[in-house]
Amino acid sequence: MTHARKSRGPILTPGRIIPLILLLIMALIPALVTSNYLITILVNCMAFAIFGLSWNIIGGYGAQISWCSAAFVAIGAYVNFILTNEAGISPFLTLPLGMALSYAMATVIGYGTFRLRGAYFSIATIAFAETLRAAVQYFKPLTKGTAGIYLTYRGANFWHLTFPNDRPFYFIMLILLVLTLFFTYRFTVSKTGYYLSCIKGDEIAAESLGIETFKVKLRAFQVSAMMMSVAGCFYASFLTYISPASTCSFDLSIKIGVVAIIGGIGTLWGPVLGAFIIVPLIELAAKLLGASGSSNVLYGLMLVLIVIFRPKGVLPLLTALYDKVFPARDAAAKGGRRA
Amino acid sequence: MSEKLLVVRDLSISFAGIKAVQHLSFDMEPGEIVGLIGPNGSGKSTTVNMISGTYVPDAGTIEFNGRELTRRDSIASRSRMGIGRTFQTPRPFGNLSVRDNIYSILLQRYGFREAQGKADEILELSKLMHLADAPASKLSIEKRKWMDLARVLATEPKLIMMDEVMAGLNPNEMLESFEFIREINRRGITVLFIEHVMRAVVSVCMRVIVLNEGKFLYGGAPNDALNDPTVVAAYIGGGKLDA
Repeated sequence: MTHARKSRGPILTPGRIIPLILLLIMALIPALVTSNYLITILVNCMAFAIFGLSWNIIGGYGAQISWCSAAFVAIGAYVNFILTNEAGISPFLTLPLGMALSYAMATVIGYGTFRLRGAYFSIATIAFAETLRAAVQYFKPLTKGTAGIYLTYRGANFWHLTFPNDRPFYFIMLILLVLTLFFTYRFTVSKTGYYLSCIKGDEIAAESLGIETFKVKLRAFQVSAMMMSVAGCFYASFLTYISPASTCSFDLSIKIGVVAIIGGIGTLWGPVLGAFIIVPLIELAAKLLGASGSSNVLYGLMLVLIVIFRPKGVLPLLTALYDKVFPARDAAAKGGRRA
Repeated sequence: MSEKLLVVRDLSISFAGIKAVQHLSFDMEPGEIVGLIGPNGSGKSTTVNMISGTYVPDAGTIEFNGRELTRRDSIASRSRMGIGRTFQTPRPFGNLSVRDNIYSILLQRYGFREAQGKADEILELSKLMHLADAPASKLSIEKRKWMDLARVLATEPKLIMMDEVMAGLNPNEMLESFEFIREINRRGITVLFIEHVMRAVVSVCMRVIVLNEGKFLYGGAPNDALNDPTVVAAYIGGGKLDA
């Protein structure tokens, strides 16, 4: 299904109404739910949905598997906390610096590895993430090392993203999630999005047909890194405390990738679905098995099961159900790349 | 004589000491359909790979449209210059529909709306319109080959190198493919036709170049090639080749 054809379809299709209903339900939840714990979990779900969507840009749509998401989250988080605590700058104003640093780092990694095919990029991302984590631990005067940084509380202050409870963050994350979904959709129907789909389909063929695969992959990685940095900035303010273990760990990078893979790699709604499955399950596992290491057991188990039984993730199950319920859906959509 | 579109001079390449192509020279005029034939391992696909930029030749020059190609001309930039190619085994973007396989490539030259119209034209030309919204991964081998060609057409090439597009096709599919190739040529596109199927070569090509063990063996009319003793010897060691 192509860009031009989409604009000729009916405006209110089930595929558009269902997300709107879900959005409305999500917006009403804080008014209906009294438990702050549940709100916190839902904020976490939305944060990981945003991380997963950001990862999906390069990992899902471009099939270039990155394991350094936590590094870009950490860049956004540390730039936020350092400037907010030390200089009293609003997190909103720290966003451009975090994005610029992430862009620069993504450029360095991508420039060196995207000319090569195979696993070089993935290996380089692991090396980069570990190097950044070591750097955060080493530069203690700035980052407080392994002790981490607490956000200075400034009362209920939207400008500084400090609140007495997580409810305001619920709406902030919801807005950010909607914006991320919209941006991701626009990205996939942009020229770069189409070229990236070609690269995912067959990189050699794409190159032989004139697509500058190196530039397209690099651009996608830069976009993904900047999105991750923005999400990291808001996520850090929500956590109120960051450390190399919480925002810069390999564990976090895996969790972000797993969210997208389990939900549905290379799909718009897959990471959202994945986040709303994984995050509550991790909470449950922590309660049942104890916090230490239970999440790793859970990712491992889920990943093995998904790779064996549902390699395209859980979302295709829902889309199959959708096709049964709404069989009149435009036949073209079934054959289209975002079917 | 008109200006040459492709001039290959003294082209050589070796892989781990094995001389895949040696001192190969040939020219192509604009609008020609030239067959590049030879037994397995004679260097046909290697020649295509050197012209398209996949392999960097050890020696020799390739001039396209009056400009000498260098190792700095990437595969993608050669495509944008007008050098198109298909692969022996079709390489569809299996994650996209047939239409999007073509549309995505057109987006390099056109805006979204314009590309849509051009994609429809190419789908009509390649008789793939009825399959436009099917996933490319579900196409039959014949349709995959046509889609490969349709996608190359989307790059608006001056030259298409067709690498064994007839392999695996039944006689009826072959006849349809002959007509498709002639139609492509009628639109002013020069064709380098790499093929094993002699019937196809004789039906479609204006002249042929025969390679054997990486060397130029014969150049001339397709029918004469079938009777040339050196060509026959290279293919079957003697006797007569059937068209």
